[in-house]
Amino acid sequence: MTETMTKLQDIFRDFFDDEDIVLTDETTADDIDGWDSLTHVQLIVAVEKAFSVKFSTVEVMKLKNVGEFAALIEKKTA
Amino acid sequence: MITLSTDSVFYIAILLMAPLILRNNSHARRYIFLVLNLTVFIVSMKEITQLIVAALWLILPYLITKLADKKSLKNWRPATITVMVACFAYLMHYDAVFNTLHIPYVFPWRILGLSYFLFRQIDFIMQYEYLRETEVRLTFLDYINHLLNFYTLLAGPILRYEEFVTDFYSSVKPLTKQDIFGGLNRALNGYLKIYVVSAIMSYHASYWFNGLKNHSNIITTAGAFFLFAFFNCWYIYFNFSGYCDIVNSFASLAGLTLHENFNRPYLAASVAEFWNRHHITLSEWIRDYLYSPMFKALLTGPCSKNAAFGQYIALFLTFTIAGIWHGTDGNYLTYGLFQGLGIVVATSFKSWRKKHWPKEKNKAWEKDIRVLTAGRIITWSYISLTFSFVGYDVLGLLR
Repeated sequence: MTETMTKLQDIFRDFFDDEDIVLTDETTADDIDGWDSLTHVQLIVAVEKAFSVKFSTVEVMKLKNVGEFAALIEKKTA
Repeated sequence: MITLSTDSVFYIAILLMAPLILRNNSHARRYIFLVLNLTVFIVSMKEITQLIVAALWLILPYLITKLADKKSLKNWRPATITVMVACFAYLMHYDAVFNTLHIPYVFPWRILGLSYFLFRQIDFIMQYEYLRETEVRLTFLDYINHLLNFYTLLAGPILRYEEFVTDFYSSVKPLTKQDIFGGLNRALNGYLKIYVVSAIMSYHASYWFNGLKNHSNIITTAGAFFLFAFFNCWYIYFNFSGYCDIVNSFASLAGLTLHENFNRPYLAASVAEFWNRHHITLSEWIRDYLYSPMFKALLTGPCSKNAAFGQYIALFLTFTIAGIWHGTDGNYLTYGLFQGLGIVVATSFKSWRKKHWPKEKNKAWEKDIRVLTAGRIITWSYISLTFSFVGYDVLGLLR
């Protein structure tokens, strides 16, 4: 697991209050209890704060899974 | 009596003819589609001034987008979208705004499908940079075909530009017997929904609504209103989902895929779930372009210490705006306010449970058949009552 993915997993565990969450590149909202369109924005803001990055509306909209999310973070922090 | 207007017959003829000339992989397919789209669009126009204004409405945002992107202009997106929304309100005759400002209407007509053009254009403007960077086809022909797509011209579904272009240029397979009979079966069901079921529902909704003023007793008035609301909500469902069945099935026969717009909405156990099942493409559009940016702005600004409050404000405003988009008078504003209220109550109850109940209790609650049944009855009743403001002057009864 990459450093970005490990940090992302910690954020997810903290945000969804679930220590059992294990992220993979293919993880989507369907795989995590409580990750819906209403909580999505709060999760994005939590990730923005943790990595000190900003995502645009379209960037967020186009994310298909956690793998793409991690890749976007790495692109922004590179 | 069921009647078919000349426009309906013309539209049915186009729907039947289109699969014969569109279901192929030829280079000419895009031009054939353009001719069909322009034909339907021009036929829907009532006069030459209307056609000119509509053509400008379609072309100008494209030119502005290309120019602004080429010149790397700043803040052109919010500026362009703000001007477009103001022009949209003017062309749709939002009397509450323009009568108050004493601005007369230059044009007496309205443009068919204008609100759907606006949705697709905002999506195109917002995504332009991404589309260019990811090398999605970006030609004027594809842009016009996307906007004027005659299958979605009247009332959606609201396709995204990338979704449309990717689908249109995918390889089209030959029709099988199953495709033909399945498609025609769904289309026939759609026509039955519109011309039989929704017509009956509409007749009864009007009957009970028109009789409301004759009641002097509050209990019989409430009973009559509930019956009106019952028939009206089913009228809306059967009419709109019937329309979607027709356009989705005929588009499928022509080798095009449209987004599904309904997923058994009256099985929803909360107002929040209802909007994930009813008019799905609108819900997704307002989630992406209204709710998410608004909530994010609140969360990183005035509501950074109270996320839940920010979420409720964003949800309430989003659904109020969606209500105003549906129509120009106070009934639609009221409809939007009630949807906003309903979704805030549903979301806050879910958040409360999440905060105060253990996870296992929450899961058991959500799966409990008694809770689901009660949730469905309450949601359906609430949606029926709030949908009564759609298409009928309910506020007029109170005056």
